[in-house]
Amino acid sequence: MTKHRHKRQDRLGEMAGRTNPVADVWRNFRHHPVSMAAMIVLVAMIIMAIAAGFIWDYETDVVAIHAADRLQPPSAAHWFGTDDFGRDVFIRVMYGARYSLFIGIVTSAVSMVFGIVIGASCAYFGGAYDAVIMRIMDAIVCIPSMLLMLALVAVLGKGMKGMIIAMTFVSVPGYARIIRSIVLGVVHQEYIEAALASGTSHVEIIRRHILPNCFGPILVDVLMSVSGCIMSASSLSFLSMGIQVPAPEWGAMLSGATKLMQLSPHLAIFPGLAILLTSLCFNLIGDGLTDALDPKSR
Amino acid sequence: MLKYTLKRLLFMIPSILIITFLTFFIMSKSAGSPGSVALGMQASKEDIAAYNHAIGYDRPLLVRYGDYMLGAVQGDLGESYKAQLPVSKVLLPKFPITCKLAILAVLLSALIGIPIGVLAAVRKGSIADTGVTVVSLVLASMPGFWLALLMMLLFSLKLGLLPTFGLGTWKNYVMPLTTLSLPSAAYVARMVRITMINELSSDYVRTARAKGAGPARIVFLHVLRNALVPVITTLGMNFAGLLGGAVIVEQVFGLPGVGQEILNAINAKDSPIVLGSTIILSLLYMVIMLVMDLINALLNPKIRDNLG
Amino acid sequence: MQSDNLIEVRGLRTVLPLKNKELAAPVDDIDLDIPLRKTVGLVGESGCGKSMTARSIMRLLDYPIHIQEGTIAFRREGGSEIDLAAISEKEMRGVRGREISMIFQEPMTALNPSITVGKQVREAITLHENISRSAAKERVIKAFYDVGIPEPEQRYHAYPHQLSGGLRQRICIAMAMVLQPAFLIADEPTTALDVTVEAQILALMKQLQQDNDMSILLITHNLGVVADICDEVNVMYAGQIVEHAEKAELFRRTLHPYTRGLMKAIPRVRGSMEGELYTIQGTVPSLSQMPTACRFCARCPYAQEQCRNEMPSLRDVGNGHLVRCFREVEP
Repeated sequence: MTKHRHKRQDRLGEMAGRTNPVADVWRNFRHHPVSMAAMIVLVAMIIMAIAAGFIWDYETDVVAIHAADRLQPPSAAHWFGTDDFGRDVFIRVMYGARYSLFIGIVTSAVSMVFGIVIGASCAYFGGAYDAVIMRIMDAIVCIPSMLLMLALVAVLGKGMKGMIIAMTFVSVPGYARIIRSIVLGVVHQEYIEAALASGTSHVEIIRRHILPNCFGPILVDVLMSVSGCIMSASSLSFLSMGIQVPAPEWGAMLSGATKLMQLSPHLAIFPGLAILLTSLCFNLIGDGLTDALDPKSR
Repeated sequence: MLKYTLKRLLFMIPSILIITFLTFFIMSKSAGSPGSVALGMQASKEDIAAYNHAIGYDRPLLVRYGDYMLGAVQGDLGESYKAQLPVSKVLLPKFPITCKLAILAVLLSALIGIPIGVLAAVRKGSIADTGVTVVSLVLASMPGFWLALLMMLLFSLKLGLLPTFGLGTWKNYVMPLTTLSLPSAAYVARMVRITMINELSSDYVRTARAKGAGPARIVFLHVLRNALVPVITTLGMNFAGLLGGAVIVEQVFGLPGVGQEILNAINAKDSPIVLGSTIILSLLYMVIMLVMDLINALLNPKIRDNLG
Repeated sequence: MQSDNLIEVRGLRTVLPLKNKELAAPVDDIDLDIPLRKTVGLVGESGCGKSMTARSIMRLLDYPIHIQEGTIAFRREGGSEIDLAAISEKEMRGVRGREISMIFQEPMTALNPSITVGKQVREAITLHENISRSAAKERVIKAFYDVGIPEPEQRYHAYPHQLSGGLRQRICIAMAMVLQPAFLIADEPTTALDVTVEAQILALMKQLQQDNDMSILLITHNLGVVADICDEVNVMYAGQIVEHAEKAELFRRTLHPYTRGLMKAIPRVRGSMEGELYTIQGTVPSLSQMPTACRFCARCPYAQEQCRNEMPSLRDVGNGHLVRCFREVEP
């Protein structure tokens, strides 16, 4: 009888399909050429963002004004041209990766942590606690997020800190909702019920079944949300509610470019391309990961 | 259905309370008070304090909140600090522009996104399908304001076809609408594609084929209706996103809508305007989500029966 | 084509392209006769290709699965013959539902959740006949009545989720029968149902067959169901037919070791309760690694040297009994 039960638990483990989930998913992911390419580009961008701080000096290379070099089109000397203060757009775009990547990743990570705590605790405790918290979360979702972010930034002050807090506040409810439903979904799977029925402990179930199965979908969500955060951050900066000029944030740079588009269209193109490329990379990796987690979905 | 609708409307009350309190709390923390906004930078501290006392602003937050809500229930959303006019008077003329934009954009995104998504699903794996996926991913990764700038560059500055600023002819609406609807359409197309592919592999499709139904009949009569359920919910949520996105579009194209009014109010710390527009927009969102759920219930008898 | 056959399948091979661009054949060189007014069973484990055979006849294969070789001769109403494997999709659509119908395993999901069952059955009529809605509705209600649906008029307006599994399967049968086709394919029609409902549905099918002079191909893994309503039986294993005989002959003289295994695996209510239920060891070889020798030899208790080297052919051992096995048989 006991022997039989052990065998059954092994089978349950197999059904959950994860002796080593990370290795499995990675093996699937590698066969996705586009997502792999996005991954490589992203790694290159992260290295670039870190290296930019060592290659160029913020005061002299990034924000210093060179009146003589104003509004030059792209050339061998200035690959992306120069802006209305004669600053090299290439250097500024490269340097700007630091802001966008930092804000995107930090905001998503912090929101995820809050989201996991709130969502998982709601799923676990249920009852009145769940009802009240989720009602509050749902109410926050009803406020157009751009509006809420703007109001929060106005109170917290323009700049990096205010922006990150505002964006986190706006994205936590979505996370909490998703994580709650993921956790609930996994908890109600038949193999979990079977494991419970066969006497496996709660801790063991959470460790062996729930966490590995939640990890993938949550990671996909984080990746997709980094892309969303990068775009929101640049939008806020574009409305001059986020990172302030002369810092080379991409959205802020585009904000400055609007009045000069007739003369210097390059100012409106390169920072935007940088935003597009960065968030595209995150989206593509998320896409590839979705498929890698569930190869059947193709 | 009626009972369900009433229940949903009733459930809006706590949501509205949470939303207003949250916004009220946030705005009370901002540096502006009615006195400082109304009297301007040069006013003395005493004058400002006297002004604030006169309108009761120095009372505790909860009392002021209760006061505000009592007024709001009767349709009085307070008075703008800056314009010294009732909030409804300031906001009302701005709503038609924003709502027109958002409604047209949602309709456009459905009209563009659904057929394209269906096409991609039916021709799954073809070049057209891959193209749809690529284009929608790129659009999903593009901030709206940049799309707006690129269009301005091309259609206004290079080709001189469309005006960049203000309201006048239908031409003024082309670029703002495209900016709002294109990314949304791309999202809808992706969603329709996925749900259609799922539905097309369901058993009832096989049954319909076994009856002798052809592909067009299966797609449009049998599958589309079931595939639209998540799409309709998404359209509702997109509408809210579009109302928020209107802030940026109105800013870029210089349209005098709610978005611009809100941005100005936030910058001027004119709390009643921010508060009032938040309440109206959130209510609008909730009503739209309710309507979308009701549409889903009409399309889908199983959902209808579950509503009780 | 023999005059007493409705369908003659010859050399049918249905293939599925694998990732490495090779072709796997879930249906491999099948011959199958469906005599007029007879019920023919097609029996085997899941994955043996029995459903795929049925879907090949209906041409309901999901791309990229397709028929590579073979003919499916079908005698039409007027007596003319067509090859279902060769006609166009458009012609085939005219055959489906009107001359050949099919019912499926899962009555829970086989019906469209957002259309009333009445309309779904009505569609089967209006797709093929130019007839007014009200006339079609009358025929649907008559069909509901014929398959034993209580209160057919009210049920006409019901949605699938409002009905029980047994009722839904009756709706599916009504949908298949409403145009009185000459041939019905039933793909595990009772597998998802309770035992009591199963018996009712089988009785209904038997009765409908007699009333309508119809031929049935019944796909099942359950030899008990075969014993209940079939006239002839084909046993399928790994894409091939391994044994064919009339029902009485098969149950009297079971020849193929696989069929014997299936027989032994039937739980018997009245048998002795000691001893475990018989199971056939091992599993069906995978599609991508189909042996060139006897496909059953790895699981066969009687396997010999010859079985591991050559593929046995389907040979006649008298009484119209065909078997794909090298073993000597006593007559």
